Amino acid sequence: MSSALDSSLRAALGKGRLDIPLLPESASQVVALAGDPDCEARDLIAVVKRDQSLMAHLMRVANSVLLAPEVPIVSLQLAVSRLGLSRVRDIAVAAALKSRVFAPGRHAELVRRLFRLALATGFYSQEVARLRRKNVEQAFLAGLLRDIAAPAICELIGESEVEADEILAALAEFVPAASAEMIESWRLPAGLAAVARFAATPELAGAAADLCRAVRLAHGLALEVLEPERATDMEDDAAALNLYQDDLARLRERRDFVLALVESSA
Amino acid sequence: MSESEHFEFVVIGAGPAGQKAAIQAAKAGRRVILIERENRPGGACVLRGTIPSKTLHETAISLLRVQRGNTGLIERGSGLGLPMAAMMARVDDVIEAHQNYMADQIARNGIELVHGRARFIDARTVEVEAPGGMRRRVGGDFVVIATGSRPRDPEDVPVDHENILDSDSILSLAWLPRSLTVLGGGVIASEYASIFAALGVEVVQIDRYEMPLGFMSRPLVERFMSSFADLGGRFVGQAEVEDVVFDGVSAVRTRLKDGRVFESEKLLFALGRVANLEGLDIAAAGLEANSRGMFDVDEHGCSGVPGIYAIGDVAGPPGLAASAMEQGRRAVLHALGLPDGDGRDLIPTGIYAIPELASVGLTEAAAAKAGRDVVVGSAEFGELARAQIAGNCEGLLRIVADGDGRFVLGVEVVGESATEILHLGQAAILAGWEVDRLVDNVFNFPTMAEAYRVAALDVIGRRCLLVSS
Repeated sequence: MSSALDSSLRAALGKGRLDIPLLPESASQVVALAGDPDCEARDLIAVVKRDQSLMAHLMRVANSVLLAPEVPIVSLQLAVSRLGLSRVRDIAVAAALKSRVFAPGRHAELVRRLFRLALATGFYSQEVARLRRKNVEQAFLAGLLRDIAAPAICELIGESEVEADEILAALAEFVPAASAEMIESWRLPAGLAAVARFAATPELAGAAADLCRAVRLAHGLALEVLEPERATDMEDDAAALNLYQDDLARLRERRDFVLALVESSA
Repeated sequence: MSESEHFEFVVIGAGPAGQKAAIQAAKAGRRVILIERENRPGGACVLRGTIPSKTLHETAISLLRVQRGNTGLIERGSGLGLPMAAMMARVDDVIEAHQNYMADQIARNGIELVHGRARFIDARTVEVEAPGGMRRRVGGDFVVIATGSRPRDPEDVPVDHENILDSDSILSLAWLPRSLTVLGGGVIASEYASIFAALGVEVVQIDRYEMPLGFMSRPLVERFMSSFADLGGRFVGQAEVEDVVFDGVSAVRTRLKDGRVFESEKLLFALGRVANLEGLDIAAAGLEANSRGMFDVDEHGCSGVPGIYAIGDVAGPPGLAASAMEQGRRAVLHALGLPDGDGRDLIPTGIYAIPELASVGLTEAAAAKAGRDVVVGSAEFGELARAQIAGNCEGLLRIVADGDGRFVLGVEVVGESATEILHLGQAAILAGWEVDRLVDNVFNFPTMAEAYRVAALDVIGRRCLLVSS
């Protein structure tokens, strides 16, 4: 990464909290569904769940002091159960209407790739948790939000003529801390912030080390499907999570489903 | 592939059964290898079963004690806002301590503990695959299969470990659900149903039988059901489930064949367990599973193939850690032609529900089934000073004596700490005590052991009536 990019990002990030942009099609889908009398709750839930940004907005509001839920909301099911369906619908619509829509620019394609990767990571995190009989509900959110700051940082880079490799290096440098800070500010469980902060160093994540490693494995599986040229070695994480070769094979069998899922999303 | 390395005992599975088998073999001076698929010893007992669930049980009991002792100050359901992790705060420490203790014990006895999954090559050779894919072959004069069991994955109930859970994944919940449907009437179902009810969760337990825990005596089960109802739980018996579906939003809907529908935030499927035999390639060893997917074994754990033993959950009921350990010890003693001592049939049953239920020796129901006369004496916990002090008056202890009312043949207890209280009765049975010794000897006062004295007096009273009639 060039020193110019490094210093400009440091300066921009130092100014305050990042704002996550929404993908325009997600916003319009939510608004359309909410206005459709025949729309079923599960349709709306499905749209929200498939969009990293929308989900993040919803979790932020659901955990806000204003609503003061009795337990931290870490999934849409929990949000509906504790806040009620109509309130969750209202939050989703408000998020869709009030949030800034991502401006298409030089790096629009990369942002879309990141959204797809986040969704696939969330999905695989859930599958890893399911296989290991760990908390599936929280795993999805942990995977989905791990790199939540990435689209916003791409926006900060703006229209600068920066090579893709350099952007990826910048994301690797700045996304973990920025994502963790965002998650912490939303009052989500500390483990989710630790997953973001220690994405590359799960061994430092303390009590969240296991979840952190599981999400890193999920991220590896997502890369293998969506961006095979960036695929990483997953053997160490799999072994640390006590997953055998056939367990990994079973996770890889979900490839087509993941592809269909991300294709149907934003 | 390298040639196999030879051991005298190859033990597959380091749960309670396998661990005890390995230690017994090592103590007899034999060279032993112990193969475990998890990265630490302990098996489901330590990681997903006995120890974690009992930790939650202890938390629920503590909460109940506080509620009982502070009437009005702490309401039922106060625990609902607490994270599960907080309720099981000590579980990781307990598991780690237990695993460390076991690992030390295994190492101290010179047993080689190997992390990997086993597969039979033939009746004397096993291949071990590590998580990374590395393989190693080991051979043994004796092979002991102790791979345990896991919750059954039903075809008709879509267990997703998120909304519809089994007894492994229920402990992974981050937060207590507001409501829980429990399918099943056995030990695991009844334990979790009562524990979650005690924690303030709205619980409905559904089973096809009229009452849960059908193998326990009716008076004990009635006491359990009454307590469950007091905790806010509801038991729906003689019910057949038509289907279970997650509504895609926030609720699990359970529809019964009679049309009734129950909705809850989560559902626990706790109907049966299956033996962990997949991947073992038992056919290569000449072994065959029975129709229930387990091994038919004789009283020593012999599988039918010379030199291969099957112990613990893979050999079927009772599926208790205590009996699995004993099976492990005895299988090895049999293999070595050593005597295995007495007490074979006197393995206690303990159910860590709220309240706990426990029994040892002859039960009234078993005696009736066998057409055997017995005299049964009871002690209500409410009659005991210690129980009054502890606010634990809902229990019952029963002594089952022979038809003449002289010898203690069985003991049954329901109530707080029943699984501990039972052991005095077990010792009395093993020692062949007459009922009168429980009256003639002095126990500390006030203690729960006094229940034995009260129940023994009841037996003696009934015996006198028998004589006079």
